[in-house]
Amino acid sequence: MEIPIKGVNTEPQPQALVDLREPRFFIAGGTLAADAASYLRRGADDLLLRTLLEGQYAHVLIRGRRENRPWSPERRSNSNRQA
Amino acid sequence: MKTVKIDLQSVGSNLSVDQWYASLVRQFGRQLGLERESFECWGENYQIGPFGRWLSVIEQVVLPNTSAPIVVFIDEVDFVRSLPFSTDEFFAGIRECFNRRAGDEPFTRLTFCIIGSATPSQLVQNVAITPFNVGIEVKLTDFARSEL
Repeated sequence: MEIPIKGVNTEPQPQALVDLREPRFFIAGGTLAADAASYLRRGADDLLLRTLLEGQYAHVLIRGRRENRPWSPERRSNSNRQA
Repeated sequence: MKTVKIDLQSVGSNLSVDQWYASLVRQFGRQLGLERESFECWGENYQIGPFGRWLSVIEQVVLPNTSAPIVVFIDEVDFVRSLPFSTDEFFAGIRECFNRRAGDEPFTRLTFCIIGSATPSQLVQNVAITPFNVGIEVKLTDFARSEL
């Protein structure tokens, strides 16, 4: 029998949006893999991909140093490359 | 489409101009499967400067031996500030590759993408060098509400 512990909610919890135990989700710093579950796509991803597919030169301006950079644009674009 | 990824930080800074460009040539060669040919070309042009040799490898080896578009990613571009020599000609060279598109068809297949927290213009010291204004600027701003 389950013993209720004071202050701990034993009610079933609603399903979380993301499973934090999923190994591809939580990456403690560094570059996210292209298929990381925690990768958030943003407008710049599409702009960069479109620009390069059109053969236009691009420079990507990133704020701050790599350690706190939430982005890996070249990996993303690579994962989209055509054969 | 083929890609070449060069992280300037991983190229290092305790090296000579020669070694720096040789590292770029090696990255191009390895990633495109043209390492032997690239270094043959590198060796044959030893009478010219390292920057010229790097351009020769692109012109005489990389472009003639490929048919797909090539995108070259230069990451951590701010790292050129840590180098003991000027890299102005490197940026001028990228610009040159762009200008060559006008009369040299293979160069239309070659595209550069520069990634860093400074614009290429900010990394060029010599004011006599043409402003680097050939690319589309992709600014990495904070996430918009709609992107979350």
